[in-house]
Amino acid sequence: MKPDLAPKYIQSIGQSYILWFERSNSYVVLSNSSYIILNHFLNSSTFDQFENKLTRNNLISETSAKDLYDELSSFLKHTNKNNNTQSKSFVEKLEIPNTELKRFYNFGNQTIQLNFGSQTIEQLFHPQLAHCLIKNHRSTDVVFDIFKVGNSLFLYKNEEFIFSSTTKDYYVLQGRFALELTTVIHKKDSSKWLSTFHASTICNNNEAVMLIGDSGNGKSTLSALLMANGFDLLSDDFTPQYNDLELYRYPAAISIKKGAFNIIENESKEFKTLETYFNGPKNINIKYLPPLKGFETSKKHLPCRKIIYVKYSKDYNSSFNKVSEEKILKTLIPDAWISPKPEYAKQFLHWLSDIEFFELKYSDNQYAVQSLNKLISD
Amino acid sequence: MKRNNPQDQITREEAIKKMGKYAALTAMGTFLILNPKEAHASSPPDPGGIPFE
Repeated sequence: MKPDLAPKYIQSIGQSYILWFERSNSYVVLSNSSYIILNHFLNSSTFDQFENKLTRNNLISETSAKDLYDELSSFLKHTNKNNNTQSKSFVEKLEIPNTELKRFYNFGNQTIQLNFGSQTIEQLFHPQLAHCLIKNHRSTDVVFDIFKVGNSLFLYKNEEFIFSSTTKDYYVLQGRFALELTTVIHKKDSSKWLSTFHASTICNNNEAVMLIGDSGNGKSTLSALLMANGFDLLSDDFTPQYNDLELYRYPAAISIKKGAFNIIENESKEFKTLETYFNGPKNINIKYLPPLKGFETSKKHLPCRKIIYVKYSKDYNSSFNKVSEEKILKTLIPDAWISPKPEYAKQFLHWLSDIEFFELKYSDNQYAVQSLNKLISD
Repeated sequence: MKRNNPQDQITREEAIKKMGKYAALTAMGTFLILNPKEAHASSPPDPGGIPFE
């Protein structure tokens, strides 16, 4: 028996098993037959016992039992390696610099103040939220300060240190800010988020459908198309999930790169009138398309039981099909933050077991919209 | 466990390349080892480049 090497949680999903290893916070996807062999390994104290079990169950020829034993030993050593490399560096309390760049935003009944240390920093956070900007306000509920010292960026909330990153990893700080803002506007406990997905999520009044895919696959463009065709946008790019397993609204605008301007202009009259921003030293043109529904009047959180892997290519024959869990998980998990807390990993696995997985490959926008219409109204 | 016919066999390196970066190929078959990110998910750096450089 090798109880020390066994996964902490096991969940059967479709044709596969998914295992969770606590020390490395790794998820392992296995076929049924591999899972049986792994169990024989974990239930054997010696190589001889393992070999006997395999032979008795007609699972393998004797010659390869040794290879299997060695491979499983090395695999389990890897998945049980402590992966907690995050060092909590002590941050001295910094003097928050004064700034003229103060902005106020309204989310429902809350006013949030953002103080930016420079215009460069402002450009990283403001354009996505510009549609929530307000001029007059009576009081401020929460103040965030974002500023740069040396080669580091800092995020403070109500004068308390929250997070820092290097300027090179500024997008990590953007992700953390998104979570902190979500926590505030939904009045949640920041330690109870189960996961944050790199996904765009659309919804109706009853359910949310998550769109995933590698960067450049067209998630944001598709979200904008769907929004123009009557869907509500729950979140673009950043989809948070709380420990009630529901997905929460993140009311940022959809960022649309120049290559997709024409597609969206055909569907949305307002798009042409939106300001064009020039991002980064390469001056890439981007427009930010705000969600159609205001935060206050829209559904704040919804259950999700459908995940779609999307990919656009002008050369595709459009298709929309159910796919294996493996196909989805290998995009979903490495691109997500999932709480390493065991009780949350268990909840996450349980949630996954109830999900239907789809793939949408398309060249025809109308085909994509119709596929989603059919899926979400069924 | 079933073995492939010799004519179907490809090298281990070719097989790993075909399966993608998360797959491990073993005598047992394939399995995916997936590690979530340690930071909250958001898009990778902007195509416009790093703004502080």
